[in-house]
Amino acid sequence: MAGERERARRPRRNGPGRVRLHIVLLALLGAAALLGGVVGRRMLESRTEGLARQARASALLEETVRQSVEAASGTETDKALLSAVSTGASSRKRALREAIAAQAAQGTPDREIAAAALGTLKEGILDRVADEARRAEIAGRLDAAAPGIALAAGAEAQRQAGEVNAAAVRMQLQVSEPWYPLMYYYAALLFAGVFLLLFALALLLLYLRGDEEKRAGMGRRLEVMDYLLPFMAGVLAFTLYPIVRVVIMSFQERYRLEGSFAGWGPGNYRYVLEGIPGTTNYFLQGLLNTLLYVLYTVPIATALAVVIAYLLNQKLRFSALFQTAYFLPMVTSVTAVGLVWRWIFNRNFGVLNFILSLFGVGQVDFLQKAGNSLTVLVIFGIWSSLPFTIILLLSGLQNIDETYYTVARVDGAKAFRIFRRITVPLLAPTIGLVLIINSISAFKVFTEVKVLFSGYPGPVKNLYTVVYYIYDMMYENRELGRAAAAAILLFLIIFAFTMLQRFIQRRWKYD
Amino acid sequence: MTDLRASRDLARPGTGLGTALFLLGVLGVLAAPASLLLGGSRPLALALLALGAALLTAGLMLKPARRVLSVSGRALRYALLTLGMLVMVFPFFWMLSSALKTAPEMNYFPPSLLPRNWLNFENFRIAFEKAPFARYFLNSVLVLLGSVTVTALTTILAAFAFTRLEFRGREVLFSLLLSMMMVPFEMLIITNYQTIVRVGLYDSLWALVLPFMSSIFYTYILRNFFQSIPAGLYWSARVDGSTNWVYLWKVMVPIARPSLVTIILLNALASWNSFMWPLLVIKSDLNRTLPFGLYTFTTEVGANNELLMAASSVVVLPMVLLFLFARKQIVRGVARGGIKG
Amino acid sequence: MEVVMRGLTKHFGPTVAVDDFSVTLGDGELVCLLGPSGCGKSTVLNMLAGIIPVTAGSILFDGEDVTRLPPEQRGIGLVFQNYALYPHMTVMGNITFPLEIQKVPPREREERARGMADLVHMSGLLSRKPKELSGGQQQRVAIARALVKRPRLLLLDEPLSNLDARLRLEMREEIRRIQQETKVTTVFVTHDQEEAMSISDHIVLMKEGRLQQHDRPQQLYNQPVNQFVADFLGNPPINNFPGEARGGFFVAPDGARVRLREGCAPPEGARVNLSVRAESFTLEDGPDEGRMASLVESVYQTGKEEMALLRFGGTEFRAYLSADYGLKPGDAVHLGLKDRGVFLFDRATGERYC
Repeated sequence: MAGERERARRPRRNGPGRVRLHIVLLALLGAAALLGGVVGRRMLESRTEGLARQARASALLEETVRQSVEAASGTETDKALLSAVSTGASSRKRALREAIAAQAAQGTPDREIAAAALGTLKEGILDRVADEARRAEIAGRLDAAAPGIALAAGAEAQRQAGEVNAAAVRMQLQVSEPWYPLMYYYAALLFAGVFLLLFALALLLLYLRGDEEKRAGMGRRLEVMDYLLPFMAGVLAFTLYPIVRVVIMSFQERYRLEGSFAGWGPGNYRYVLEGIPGTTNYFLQGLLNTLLYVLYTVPIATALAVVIAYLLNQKLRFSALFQTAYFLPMVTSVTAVGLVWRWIFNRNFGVLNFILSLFGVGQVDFLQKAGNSLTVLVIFGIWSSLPFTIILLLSGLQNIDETYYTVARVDGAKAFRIFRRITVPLLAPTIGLVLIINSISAFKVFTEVKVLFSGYPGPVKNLYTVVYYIYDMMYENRELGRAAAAAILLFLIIFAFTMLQRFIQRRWKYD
Repeated sequence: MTDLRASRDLARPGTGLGTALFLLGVLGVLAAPASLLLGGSRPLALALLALGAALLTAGLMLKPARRVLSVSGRALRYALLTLGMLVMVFPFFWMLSSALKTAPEMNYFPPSLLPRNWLNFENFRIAFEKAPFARYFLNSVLVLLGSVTVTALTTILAAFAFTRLEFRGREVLFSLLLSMMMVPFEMLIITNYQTIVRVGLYDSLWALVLPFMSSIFYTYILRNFFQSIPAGLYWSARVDGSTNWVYLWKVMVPIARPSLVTIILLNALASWNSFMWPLLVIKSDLNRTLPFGLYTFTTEVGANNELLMAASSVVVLPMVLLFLFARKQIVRGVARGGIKG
Repeated sequence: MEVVMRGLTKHFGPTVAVDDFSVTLGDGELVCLLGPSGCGKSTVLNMLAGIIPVTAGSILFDGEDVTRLPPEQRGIGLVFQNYALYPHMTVMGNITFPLEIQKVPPREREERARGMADLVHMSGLLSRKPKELSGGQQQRVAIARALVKRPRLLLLDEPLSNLDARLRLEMREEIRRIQQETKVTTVFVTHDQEEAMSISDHIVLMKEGRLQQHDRPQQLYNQPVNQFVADFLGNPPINNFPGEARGGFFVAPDGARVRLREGCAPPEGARVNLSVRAESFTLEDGPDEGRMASLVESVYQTGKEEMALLRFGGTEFRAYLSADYGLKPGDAVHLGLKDRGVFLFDRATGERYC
């Protein structure tokens, strides 16, 4: 066998060729990434510059206008008149802004620009004032204040231009710039480019130094990489990186979508666990609701499923029909089915209230009354988790060797004893598994709430669940750091709960 | 169950009295809810129930005829199963029925079980007018096809690498991956959302496909199956000069077809029904997938449930068809996947 | 307890699994149902147990007709091929379970269980779970569980098939010992003729649903009633020489012949098989009508004996011959036939002529 393997690994597999191919490809890719990174960075810089310039120009203009209005107006009426005048004629203002921007681009000091702007403005203002005397008065005040205005405007312009940084640029460009990804990830691209080039270089060196055998070995390892790369790339990008990132993010306070945050600290956790004093702590509410949901749904659904699976396990006519019916809810969208249930639970026209009325029970307000919302959710939850549970339990039942039953029968055991002493204990591992899987699943309840209650967490915001809270934090409040903290807590809770179950269940397995 | 019944002695005596009491008891128990439905009072129904139960128990004590017992046992079993089946299936029936009703019909009280006109497709027409369901449908299909293809590709390649290709740290790496499987998706969405936005894929269908391109779960399942294919096949192919690529696609994949079909089916189901993720990353109406589109439709026409039911039917129907078509595969796949999980 | 089966028949749809099977098993006997796969032995066992219904015929336990009785009312103990020990119960729990069902009080239950455990030599392992036991130990427990309720009949379905070769030897002795000590009528099913030969009081040999022979092991071996029985028993398998019976001689296709013994008178010209056991040859010094002139093809040493591969009348055969003679391939020898282990069967019907 080993001999065959050796023969199989001979040059026929073309290991060296693969290495050569990789060297070339990686070099090209690395160069491209490097190029992309450089280009991206350049673009980012020029955009930043451009935006800074625009900020400067705007600041200069606005500040000049504001200050001059302040200075030139003696009385309130004057102020009002001047404001109206100076803010009007936006086309003039735009032209002015562009002129200012051009001058700033040339490097003219801000003070000079401010002074020039002031001059233009003064003209425009004075044009509007009819009265000679008033004109002179205003002109006088403007002239007197001119230097001060120029200084102040210049300072403000500097300040605002300084505030334009990469983060602000990113925020602005996020939705407008098609090349945005290039600019955002330029650092990563540069890094990747360098890495790939170095990798290609290393391969080249090893290739040149190695002999046939070594090259074949390299080729083999590269082949492994080729097969694993797509999968691992996905895992790295969408599983591993997020895990790490979320943990980190949970400690970054006031973390925003574009990446800015206030500082490191446990603030997110504190917010999530304590809430805003004086208001409801929605996380704790969500936690309580979720726990209750799990504790109600999972045991009841499991018990029902055991009975149903037991009934289904006998030789039956129409078994295909029964199976189809019982397993159907599993394949359907929670959203769609949730809407049907919402209609069934309808207070006035829903079927459920109708059936209840047949038994003499009065109309129940399922969806609007806060006290009933958890019940509604639990009913829906049990109904939808039954199919999957039944399938697993049925499989577990069918795995019980028939000979156990036969031996017990021969010894004279009746159906109930067999069920109690043989079926249930042998089914216990499956039941345990079902409990764990279903509770993990139940902890993540979200869509059901959203659909049953028309997009709200309950009729009076009383049915938050943990995942709903996370969603809210993320989408409505845009507080990613807090969402991250909540998510980590959720994970820890699920983990602890599962470990607890495993511990309790350790005696349930026999093989 | 082995056919012990056939060899059972049918002449085992049951007392006549026992049989009679038992049957009377059954009658009583059944009469109780019936009387309620026919307008009887609650105390009467309760009395009937109690009386019936008492007679039944007395009858059981005196051992009714074996035949009667076994027949009623079977009847009970079928009755229970049928009742459960109705509960399971009713929402779908109701959905279809409501979809075919007119708006006034929806507000009948007591609600009517069947629509007046079975061919009333008006609601479907209106729904499709009010919201671009055709577009939603198309999007869902595209995403399903894309997701299934991409995921299947990465899964096949990776499973092969973890089975037949030998490299250092293979088992360690796989165990690491398995441990990552435990992390809930709800924890990863935050960063994935951020990534999608930054890479510029926000509000695009790719955002619905790429984050799921690698599934550790499916790879685990497929790898298990691959491992059951004897290594001898591989080595003899290699000795014959075959490359890994050829062997993978010409030998392993065809043999592993049942497992692959399972994976594809499960993937298709998950993709079609996914709601939370599209809710996050899709903004414009034209890019929505069906469940999400359905949801926003709700906020538009919340009170017109007949339209909602029609729309829901559209969302549900393809998967139901798929299920009817591939029931055994799906069930087997879920069972196997569940046990492994 | 005496077991009488009369005209037992079982049809599975169109297939006839057991056909008119009539056998009486004596009280306290260890009987083996032997035969190739598909011969119906397991079916007979299942009918004895009451697990499958009988198509026709009757079964009597000590004169009582139990044909229609369910298994739990027959008083039998059953051991399956895979032992079917409840994995979630300890050894003690497994053994006491049948007594629990019978509502035997706890103290007595435990006593009897311990007694059984002693009998099968499993006393120290009562608190173990089945997964912690070896194959042989599991089987002992299965037997103890079957016997603890003092059944009238013990049924074992291929009890030794799941054990490795060495364990098989040990366990079959154990089964024999246990049966001797308890004196319970025992029926066990197997396809291994050596197993059957070594421990049974009687063997019931079946083929294609029909009884072939029911006798003591030695009788089946020495006096097979037909070709099938002769072929089935014995290791190495009996040597069959096809040919014709003519004028008191057996004549092979190539003309080689040997005289048939006294009193052997098959129909003239009948197509027959001369069947000779490997140990039924003697090495003689010269040719004779009653001897078979054969050519040695190869020789295998087995310590005290040699087994030689020879050819006579166009047929290859095996013979155990004393090692003293130093045979070599190519030697021409003359073999005499002993009285025992030499038979003549009709080639078509398997009927025995001599």
